[in-house]
Amino acid sequence: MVISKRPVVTIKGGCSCSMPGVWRAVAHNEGAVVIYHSPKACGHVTREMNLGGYYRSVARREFVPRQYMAPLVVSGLKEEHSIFGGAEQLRQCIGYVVTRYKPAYIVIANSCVAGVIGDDVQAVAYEAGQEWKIPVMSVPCSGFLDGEYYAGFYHTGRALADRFMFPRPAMENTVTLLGDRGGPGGPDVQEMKGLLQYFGLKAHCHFPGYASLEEIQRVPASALCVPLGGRAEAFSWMRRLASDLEEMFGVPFLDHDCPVGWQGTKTWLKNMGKLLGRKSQVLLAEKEQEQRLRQQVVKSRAKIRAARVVLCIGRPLLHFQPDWVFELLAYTGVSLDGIILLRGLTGQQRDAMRRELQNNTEAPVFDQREGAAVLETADLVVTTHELAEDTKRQLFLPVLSPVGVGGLVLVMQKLARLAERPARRGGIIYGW
Amino acid sequence: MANGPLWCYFYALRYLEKPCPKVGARFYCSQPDNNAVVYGTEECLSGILQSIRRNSRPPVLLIENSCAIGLIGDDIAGIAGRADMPCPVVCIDSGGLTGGFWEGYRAAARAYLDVMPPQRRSEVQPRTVNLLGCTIGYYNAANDIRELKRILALAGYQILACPGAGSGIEEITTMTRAELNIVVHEELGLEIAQYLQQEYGMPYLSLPPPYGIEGSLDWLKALGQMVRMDDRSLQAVQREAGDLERQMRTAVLEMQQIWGELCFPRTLVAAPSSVALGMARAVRSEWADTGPLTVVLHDGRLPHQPLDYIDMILDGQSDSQAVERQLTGLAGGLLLASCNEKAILRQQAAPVAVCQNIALPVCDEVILSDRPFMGLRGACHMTERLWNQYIDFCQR
Repeated sequence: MVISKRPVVTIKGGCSCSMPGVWRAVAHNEGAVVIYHSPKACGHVTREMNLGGYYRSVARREFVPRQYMAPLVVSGLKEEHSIFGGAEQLRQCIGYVVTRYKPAYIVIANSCVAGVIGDDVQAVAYEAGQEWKIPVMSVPCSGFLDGEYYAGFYHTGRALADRFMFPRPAMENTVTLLGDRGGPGGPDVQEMKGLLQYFGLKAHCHFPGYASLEEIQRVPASALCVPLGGRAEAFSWMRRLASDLEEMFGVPFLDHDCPVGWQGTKTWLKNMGKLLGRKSQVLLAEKEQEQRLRQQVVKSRAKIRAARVVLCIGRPLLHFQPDWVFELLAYTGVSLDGIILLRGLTGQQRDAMRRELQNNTEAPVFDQREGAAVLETADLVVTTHELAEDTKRQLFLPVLSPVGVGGLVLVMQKLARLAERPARRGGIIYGW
Repeated sequence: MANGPLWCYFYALRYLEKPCPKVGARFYCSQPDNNAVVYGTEECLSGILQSIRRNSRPPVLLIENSCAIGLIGDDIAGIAGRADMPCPVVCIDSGGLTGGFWEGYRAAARAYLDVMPPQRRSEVQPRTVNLLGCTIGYYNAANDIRELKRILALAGYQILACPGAGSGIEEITTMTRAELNIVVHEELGLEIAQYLQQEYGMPYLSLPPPYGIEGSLDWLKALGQMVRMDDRSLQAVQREAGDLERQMRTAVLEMQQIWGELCFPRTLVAAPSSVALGMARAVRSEWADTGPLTVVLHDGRLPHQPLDYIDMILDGQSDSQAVERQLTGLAGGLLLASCNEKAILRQQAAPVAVCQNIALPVCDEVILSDRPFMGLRGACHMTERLWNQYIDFCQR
């Protein structure tokens, strides 16, 4: 019996909250302060999330000492505010923030509690802006209501654009990267920058996060915007932001998500070449990137090819597009013995995933109960959820698809390392 | 069951999974959507209740309303009643509007005791105690609880129940037979102890948890006085304490000749109040020489009177600026805290001599051994950790 270590929760609707999205959007923007119009606990959750991110950056040598971190202040809604409203509490909080931090601007994220109470946060923000003579922006989401993480992220970007950007003449060969993906120092953005270089493009802004006011104002001068998504939901919001910027300032954008997998990278390069009218650079980029991939494939293939692999999927299509995984497995020459759909998927999600799988593979697809036999004989398990079978060697797939050849190579290296482990040791390797 | 959004559920699940890896199999989420906020959560709840009824058959079900759902005012008990659950159902409004972890713990304990009242106190078993206010949700808590039980057993006590840290329904129901309730973490257990005293006539003793050798002996002596235990009952504990002290002294003196005294210009201790106050006392009286000692109480539960071994007490809930200032001035000092404080220090590039995790969240340490912070073995463990880190600091 295939048992997921963590419960595979059936995701009926949303599974995230808009407030961390608001905070992440400006977390490293110099001068920004974020107010959560919420109970204290919501700030606590975000702080813990950030703490994990901080230690991950330390572990990967990506930590930037003294990097600006936007203060996160919580208005501290309590039960009594459900009767009398929390607007006054928010006003006081804004006053405190202005006095204490002297921010360049404030962004307010609303909680589900504020949404239920019905506080007119936009009006409070407008009045506070007038009173304190600094930009105070609010975002039209309320916690998990009216949108999730990426909605909060998008609306914050949109609010910054409305407030701080104005038309500027385009600067040739400059790019604004739209999205997060671990920020400018992270491997994903480095990979993107490497691809942009083939076209003589330089990322001069990262938006909405990691941007000073000066950089935000530089966005309309970009020759191009490039969205950084990584999965369907993220891309749709970043595409919307790109589309807004095009409409507002005439900055065109590459209508393609991050390059994922080799086929995805080739398509991305072709689309970019077509958009810029620079097809010769596409050929060079393809050649070099393919060579980079081949080098790794030769190294990994010898270690992995004899392995029998099973793929376990517990994420719906909205959060997991499997095509790059099949590509990865094909390069390594493994035999995909089967695919097990974990129990958490609803019937509808399961049907959609089955249809998607049919387009990618001929490997048999099993429901969780039927998959026990094929799992039993597998050498390696590539999975979206940790399985309780500790003796199985498992590669845990990243939530966001890896970017470019570099991302694919990293996962391939990890799979090769897993294949080299003695089978009886089992264990999990995280693919990010 | 968390009657609230999946995001909040996932956060709680991650927190609970650390000390209790299999909790996911008995923790559910109703996943209300926008419609539920307008029309109520009955539909979302009923579906999950039916599934629990069919598949898990628990001896008791606890339903907790999240912040926003608590405001709607759904009759959760009524919904559970209509679902005809084959077990008692405890309903709690303990979303973030009520407070943090500590408020939630207390609210859950009270709600549980209301629905599942213990037996009337007809017989009292001598030399039996309950440990109140325990949780495995504190850092290294399972090891601490094990050590508390060990030293209590060594001193001749039998522990009947330890609600919140592993006791089942049966143990909690019969806990009223105990001679005394011991409040281990006051911020969690004092209200329960007061309630049990009022409703069941059970006496209680509330002291800071036993850290350090002297601290542990004092704690046991105070307990012995309360239940009129013969001093001889402590002989075994005193013998072990003496052996440990000799062992520690020999090891430490040898290092002292090389590395000097364990001495810090400043110390900051940040943790839930009982842990922070207890640790601060052990630092000052047993573990190190230190200049000004500041204590940050994560739950903000300030002591009623000043404590002579502490120079400054800060409320971790509302004194964040003062905490940051104290951390910035801690160069070369001793920090006993969580990774939250450590991260602030590191971001400000303020190097301290010794950083020891004593509270959650912790992101930079694996604990696999069974070594506690509390009790006699805890004193030995902490001395070892402080010394080894200090020696490491001297070599940096």
